[in-house]
Amino acid sequence: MKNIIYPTLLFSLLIVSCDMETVIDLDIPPHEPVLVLNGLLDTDTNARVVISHSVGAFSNAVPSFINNANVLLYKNDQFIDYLLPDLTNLIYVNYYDDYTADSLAMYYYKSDYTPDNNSTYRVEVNHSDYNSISAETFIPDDITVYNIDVDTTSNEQKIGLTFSFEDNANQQNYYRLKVFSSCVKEWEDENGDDQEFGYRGDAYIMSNDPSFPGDIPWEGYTFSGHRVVFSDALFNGQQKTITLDVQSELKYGECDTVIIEFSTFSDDTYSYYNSLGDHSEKGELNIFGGEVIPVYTNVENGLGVLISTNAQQIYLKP
Amino acid sequence: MKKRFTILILLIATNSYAQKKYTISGYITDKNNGESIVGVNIYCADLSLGVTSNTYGFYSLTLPEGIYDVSFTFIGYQNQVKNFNLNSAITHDVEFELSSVNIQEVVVTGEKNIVETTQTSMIEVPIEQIRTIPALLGEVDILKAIQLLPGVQSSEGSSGFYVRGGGPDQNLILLDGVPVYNASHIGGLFSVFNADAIKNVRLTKGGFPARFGGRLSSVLEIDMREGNMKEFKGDATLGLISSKLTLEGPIIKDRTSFIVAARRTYVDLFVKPFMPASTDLTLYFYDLNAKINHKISKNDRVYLSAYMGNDAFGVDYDASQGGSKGGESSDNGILNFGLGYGNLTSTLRWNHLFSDKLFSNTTLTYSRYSFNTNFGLTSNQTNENTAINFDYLAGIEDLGGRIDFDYMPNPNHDIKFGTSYTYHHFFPGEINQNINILSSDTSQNFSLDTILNFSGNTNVHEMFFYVEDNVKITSRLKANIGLHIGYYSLANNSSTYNTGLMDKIHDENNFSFQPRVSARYLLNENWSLKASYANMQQNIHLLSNSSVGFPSDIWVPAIDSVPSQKSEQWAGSVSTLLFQGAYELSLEGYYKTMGNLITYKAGYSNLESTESWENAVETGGEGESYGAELFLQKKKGKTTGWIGYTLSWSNRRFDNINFGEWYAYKYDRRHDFSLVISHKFNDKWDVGATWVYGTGNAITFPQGVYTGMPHISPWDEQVAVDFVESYGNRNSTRLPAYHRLDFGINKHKKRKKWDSTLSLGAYNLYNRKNPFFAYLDYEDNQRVAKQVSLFPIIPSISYRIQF
Repeated sequence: MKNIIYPTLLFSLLIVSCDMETVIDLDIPPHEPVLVLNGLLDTDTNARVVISHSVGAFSNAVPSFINNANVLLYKNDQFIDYLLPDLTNLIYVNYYDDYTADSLAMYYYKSDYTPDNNSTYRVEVNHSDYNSISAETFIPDDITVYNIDVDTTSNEQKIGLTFSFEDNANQQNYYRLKVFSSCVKEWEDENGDDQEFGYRGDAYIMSNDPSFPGDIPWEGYTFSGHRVVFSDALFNGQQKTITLDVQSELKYGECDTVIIEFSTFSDDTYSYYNSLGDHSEKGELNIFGGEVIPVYTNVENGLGVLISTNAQQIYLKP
Repeated sequence: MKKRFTILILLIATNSYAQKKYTISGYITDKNNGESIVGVNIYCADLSLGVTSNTYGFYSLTLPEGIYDVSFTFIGYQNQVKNFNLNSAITHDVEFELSSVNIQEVVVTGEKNIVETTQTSMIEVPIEQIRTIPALLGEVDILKAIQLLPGVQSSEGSSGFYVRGGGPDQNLILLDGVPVYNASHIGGLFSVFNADAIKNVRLTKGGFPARFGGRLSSVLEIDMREGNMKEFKGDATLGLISSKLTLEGPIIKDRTSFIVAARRTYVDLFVKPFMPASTDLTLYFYDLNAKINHKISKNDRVYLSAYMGNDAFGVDYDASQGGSKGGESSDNGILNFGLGYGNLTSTLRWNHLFSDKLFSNTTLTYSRYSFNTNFGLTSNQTNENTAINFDYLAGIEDLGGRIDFDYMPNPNHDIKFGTSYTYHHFFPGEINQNINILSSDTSQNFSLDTILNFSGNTNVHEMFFYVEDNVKITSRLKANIGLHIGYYSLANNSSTYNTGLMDKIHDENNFSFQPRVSARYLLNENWSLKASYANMQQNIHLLSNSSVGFPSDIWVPAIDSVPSQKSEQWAGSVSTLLFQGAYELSLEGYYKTMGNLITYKAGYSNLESTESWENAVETGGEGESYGAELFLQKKKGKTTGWIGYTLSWSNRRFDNINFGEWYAYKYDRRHDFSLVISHKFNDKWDVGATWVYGTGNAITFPQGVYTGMPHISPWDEQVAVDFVESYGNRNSTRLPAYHRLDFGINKHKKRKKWDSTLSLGAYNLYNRKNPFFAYLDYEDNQRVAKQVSLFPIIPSISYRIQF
């Protein structure tokens, strides 16, 4: 009998205590809701931002957008225009909470003004229920891309791409590169029926460029990904030639549209994109991880981010 | 510099006087097994003069000519009093016999009682006491016992420890004088020290004597046993997850002895029968301690000791025995993952007596810690054979030598001096990448075999000189005054060990001067005041991005861009004896500042990133810790134990973290309490219990939620937003408090040829769900904080026989 009782007791104790994940009352510092400003200014579209408010970590409320704030736009410290909520064009944006999708009504605060390059912009937001907030960002100068060369001779599905540009020596520059393709493959199957397969999206970029983020070499490349963000730390003020291999889902000849999107932006934007990527990849609370990486914010007295980009699209096709 | 030496010489001169003196010297050993006994009081009551035996049991007491009674006392042993007619030098070896009051009744003791010792912040824990402390899964664990002392913090399940706000890398763990770089098994669940092979454990938290250097926060000295000089003995323990065997005995009686202790876990053997045929699991660790010592002559003795321990974890998956059921598919492959790490240390020591006043110890040491992980995939398909293998290797290897002298000119002085040299070889990150793809379409063939050193190997010279004097200035005032002079330089890239040493020895920037002082003032025979100051420098850093104590934590050397860590610590205490010495009580305060601390940049992981380590760390960090420690211990009687309470603050500051503002260190613990108690009912039964309580760890936790930048969803090409968490200040949230009760009961049985002990115990007796990690989650449509706990109540049983 003793032989049965002791193992049974042990087993029972272990079963009883197996649920080691529990809800707890955590005494976190109080969070007063603040205004949240999110905006991406670029030289091709009118200025627009969205305004919302934050909620406490344990609040039942969902952070919602605000349509009655007073939003002012400044260029190089000179007032330019008010950004007004576009209440006629409500956009219902999807969000994910508790693993279920829902939507929120979002309003853009807009102006007819299109930002210029080589300028600093500041947005101020005032609201009677919250402390005023502000944020500023710098839009860098244009970049000129030349000596564009596409090599499709060796492998049409993985083309070689080379181009050059001059880095502006007077400022710290950050760049983002993407290659977009829209392709359709048509063929006749064994029954004589016409078949079609289409692909639209960012192509895969592979390179050994030392300015790109490096990783363990894979298939002969130190960088691979759908987009690359890099700085001018290794070529400040010099001519830079980028050499890539670009792989799409289909062959180059089957694509009707191939676009290089080459953007330059300030350190604010670089910090934001980097922190966003790092936060989602490795910076969230993790049982075996290091410290969390908060998403970058440059909003004084509030949250969110005001960033900018000066993007150009280079059409390889059509 | 000159001033410091002048003060030292003056202090020595103060106590010199012309009178004919003679010296009584010798070794003190245990009569039962011949092991040397450390810290025995040798006292001449007529002159109120005394000394204590050193680490090797040697003592030297110089007295004026005359006839004296000299007593030899050590708690747990029968006192001895010997009458000496001192008209010439006398060699007198002492064999101590256990008193009827078993040494198990000794709880915590220093070289003398807590009132008399000069040094602050030092605690010695007898191994027999450690055995009575209930342990996780019944594995007696030295480091877990250390964690119960005031001023020492720990994290759940980890054998790592944090002393007075310092990091886990700031503890110098010495096994027979050799640094052990990773003292954990199974990621920190157990320490690498097999209690069966250990004789003494001493922890110094502050007021470091000049002979110690190289770490900022503590020195943990662990001495291996020497082996029984008298008779052959064995000790075997059968436990839930491991078994141990220790054999010891004389090779030449009273001259040469050995001890071998081995331990291995067998979790994998239990798990294997439940694993699918396709999966082969490896999961174990082992330790092997060995030591041999030989008395060459009355004046010479040598010791050779070694430790080897390894952890192994691996999974091999054979697809041909898996889902395809014995090769129904033409495809098959083997996937394997392995992780292994371990320490190898060895020491060769030579004790030599130059005279009855001058003792020397010469030591040659070797230490290596390495960690490697590998991933492999072998696939044989109809048209293609693929073999991919990645190996990652990191570690540190030391070769060193030191010589220490202990000069005891008279009872008022105990002068220690010496020098040490260590050659460090760091290999902090090397990936071996091997890929072979053989295809029927030869254009698809691919082959790669390369070694990538993302962090270059570095060789380092580290050397120090020291001198210290434990000087009795007046009958009430005693001080330990010393100077530690450190030398540190990076070696040139060469396989020659001395390359770079002499080239750079003229550069004064490579030297550091670290003064150390501690003093004790006796108010009366039951009360004393103590104070200490220690200036320390640490030339190596540990890169750790997890609290779990992963073996992947990497040791790296200080370099120009990541300079050596430095600290200064002030401590003061009041100590007293209560109830005729049955209780010792001390209250100690400390203040410590640290500089040049490092930490990984946020989000960096040394296993995920290929960035060189020096680019992955935040440097120039500052640290500050202060607090008070209360320690009440009962050393005698059937019920023994201690109460420790620590009130402390520990903060950090880095320019690029928390906007450059000070923030609480992860192990900042406002209150830390431990109760250790054991009671011996009779020779057959004894029980032990511990209860610990600590303020929860400081963590960075979401405090708010807000909408991120609108973007186009790749799924439906519609505008979407993500919710982003706002974290506030670093470590501004506290996890719930940690507390736990452990209990153990032992039944001893004496038989004709062997003794046995059956131990039953329970870790976390009331099944407290202690916090290990917390995160924000959703439950019933509400955001909630959830915590993950590691250890529920864990019962244990073990059976030990000694023969």
